[in-house]
Amino acid sequence: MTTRTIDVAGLSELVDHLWALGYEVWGPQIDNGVIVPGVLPSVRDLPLGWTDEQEPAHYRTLRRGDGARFGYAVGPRSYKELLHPPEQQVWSMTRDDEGELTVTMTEPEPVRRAFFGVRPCELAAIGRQDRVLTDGPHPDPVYGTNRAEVLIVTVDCGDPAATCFCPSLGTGPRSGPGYDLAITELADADLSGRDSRYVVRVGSPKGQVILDAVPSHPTPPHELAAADAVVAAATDTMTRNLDTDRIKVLIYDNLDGPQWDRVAERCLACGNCTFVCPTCFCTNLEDVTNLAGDETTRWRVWDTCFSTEFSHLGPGPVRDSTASRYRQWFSHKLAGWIDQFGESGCVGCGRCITWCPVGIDITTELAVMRAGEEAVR
Amino acid sequence: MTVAATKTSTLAASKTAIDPLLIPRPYRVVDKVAEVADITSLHVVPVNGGPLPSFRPAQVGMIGAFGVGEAAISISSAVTCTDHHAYTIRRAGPISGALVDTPIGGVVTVRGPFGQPWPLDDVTSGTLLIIGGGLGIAPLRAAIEEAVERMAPERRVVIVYGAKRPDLLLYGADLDRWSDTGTEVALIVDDVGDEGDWTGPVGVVPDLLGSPDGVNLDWSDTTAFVCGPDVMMHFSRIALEQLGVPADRIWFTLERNMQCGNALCGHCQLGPFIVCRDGPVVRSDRIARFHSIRDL
Repeated sequence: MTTRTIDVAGLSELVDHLWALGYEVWGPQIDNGVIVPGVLPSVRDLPLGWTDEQEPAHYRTLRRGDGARFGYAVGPRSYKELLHPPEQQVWSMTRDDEGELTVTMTEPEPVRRAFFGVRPCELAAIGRQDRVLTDGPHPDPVYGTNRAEVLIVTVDCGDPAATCFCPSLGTGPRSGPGYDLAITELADADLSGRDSRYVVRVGSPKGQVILDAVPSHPTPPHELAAADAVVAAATDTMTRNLDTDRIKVLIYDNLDGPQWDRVAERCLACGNCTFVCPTCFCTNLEDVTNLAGDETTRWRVWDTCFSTEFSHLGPGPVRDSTASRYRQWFSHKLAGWIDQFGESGCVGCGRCITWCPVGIDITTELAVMRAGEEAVR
Repeated sequence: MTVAATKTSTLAASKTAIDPLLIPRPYRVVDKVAEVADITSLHVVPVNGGPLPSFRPAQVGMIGAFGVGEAAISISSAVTCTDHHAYTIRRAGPISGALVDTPIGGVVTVRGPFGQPWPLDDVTSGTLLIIGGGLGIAPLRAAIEEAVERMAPERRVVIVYGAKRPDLLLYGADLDRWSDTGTEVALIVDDVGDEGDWTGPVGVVPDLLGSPDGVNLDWSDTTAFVCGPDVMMHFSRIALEQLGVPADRIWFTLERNMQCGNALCGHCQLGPFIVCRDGPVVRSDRIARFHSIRDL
C-alpha cells in the first residue's frame, strides 16, 4: 500500500483530524514517572525528548538529547486496559420481598477510540487478545464492543529497551499486520524535534482516507532507506532472545522438572508479570451485595494465576505452591497458549522482566530449561 | 492513565451482543432430595415457565446463589426428564452451602449448559464400563440412564462405583433399579464404617477391575467413562490400560475452577485444556501426561 512522509505539522494535523472525526485519541505520555498511554489532546503532549531505561526490576525515564517523540519502549500499562478493562460490571440482580430475582445485564458502553503511537509488540498483543476474546464460539461482549472500531496508528521501534526481545517472536520492531497506519520516526537531532520526519505506511482503506486528509509528500528513497535503518538498528540492539524452537515440546517435557522449585525461591507470587502483560486475559467474577441485601452486582476484574484462590476447588487450591503457580503462568504463556489459540501468548515486550520486583527473566528461565535438557542428552 | 475532561469521543461505536451463556436465568427449586450426609440434590425449573434447555450427559450448569456466587455443577437428571433439571451438590463452602440451603420455592440462577459430554454416540461396540467415585457418580447418572435405555439388553453396561463408606454411596434407589433391570453394578467402599452390615468388597475402585471377584470383561472391546477424584481416575486409567482397554476408549471428566463457562476467564485450565470448553469430558490419552503431574 501507499507510503508517504509527513512533517511535524502533518503529524499534529493527523492527531487533530482524528479528534475531528470523533475519535477519542490515546497516545504515549509521561504519567507518574512512566511513559504510558493516556488521552492525547495533541502532538504537543507526546514525550518529546524522553526515553526510558529498563533492566530486570528496573525502570527510569531519562532525557534523550535529541528531538525524538517516540524514542522509548513500552511502560507498565498497555492498551489492554482500554479493551479488556481491569474492572467491568457484568450484571446487576435484585431480589424482591417474595425472593424473586430480576437480572439486568450491563450493556457495554461503546467508545470510538484511536490508539496513536502503538508499538509493534502492542499491536501483536491486541491480535493475541482478539483471538482469545473474540474468535471463540462465545465472544466477550465487552472486549468486542471496545475493540470494534478502534483505529490503530503504530510507531515502529527505534529505541528498544534492554528487556525487549520482540524479534524472537516476530512481532517487531517493525509493525506487523493489523494497523491502519504505521509510522517510522526519523528523529531530529535537535532537541526541539521540529525537523523530525514521519514515514507513514498505510495498512487499511480507513487509514488511507485519514492520511489523505493531512499534508504529506511522497517518501523519497533516502527517507525510505533511513526508515529501514531505524528498524534495522533497533533489531541489532536487542540482545535478549527467547528461542522458540520446539518450545511447546520442551516445556511440556519439563513440567515435572526441578526448575520450578528454584524459580519459586525467588518468585514472590505477586502477579505483577500478569498485570503488566499485554496478553494476560484472566478475570475473576466477584459478586458485591448492597447492605440491604436486595441488590447484587457482578464484577469481572483482572485476576492472576499467581493467587492461591485462582485454582480454588472444593477441597482447596489445585496450585498451592509458588512453584506450581509460576509453572502455570510460564507454561501457559509459552506452550499451552499454542494448543489453545494457535500461537504463542508472548509478544516479546519484556514488561514481565522489567516489572518483576525480583527481576525474574522469562528468557533466562527458558534458556535454563533448554540448557538443562541439553546437559541431560 | 490521564483522562482529559475536555476531549471525549463523539461517535458511538458498534456493540457486540451479549452471549446467552453469560446471562443468569432465574430457576425455582421445586424439590430437594437429601441424598447422603452433606450431599443434596436440587430439582429446578425456569421461573419464567419456559422449557428446560436440552443438554447432553456431563454438561455443566453454572448454578448461582443470590449475593454469594456461582458453582459449576453437572446436571445429574436424565436427559429425558422434562419436568426438572437436578443438580447434586456437596456442601463444601459458602456457595455450595447457600445453594443446598435454598428452600423449596426459593430461586437460584443457572447459566449454561456447556462443555463436552460423554461420547455415548461413539460407543458402537462392546461393553460400556462406567466407573464412578464418590460424588463422581453424579455427572455419570444421565449417561447411565441413557445407556440403559439405548444399549441394554443387547449390549453390556457395567457400573463400578466406590465411596468412602457404605452410607456415602449416592443414588441407592437408582443403583437398585439399574441392577434389577439387568445392568451389572459392582460397589466397593474404602471403609466399612460403623454400620457393620456391609458384605461387599472393601478397597478402592481399581481393585475391582479384572480381579477374580470383581469385574471381568472383554477388555479390548470396552469403552470406559470414569469420573471421580483425580487420583482415582489416574489409577483407574492405569488399571484399564494394563487390562487392555484401548487408551482412546477411556474417557475422564476433569474438574477445575470454572467461572465464566465461555473459555474467557482462564481459571479452569489444565495444561493445554480449557476445561469448560474442551471438557469436562476428555479422552484420557489426550490428558494423561498432564493429569498425572501434581498441582498442574
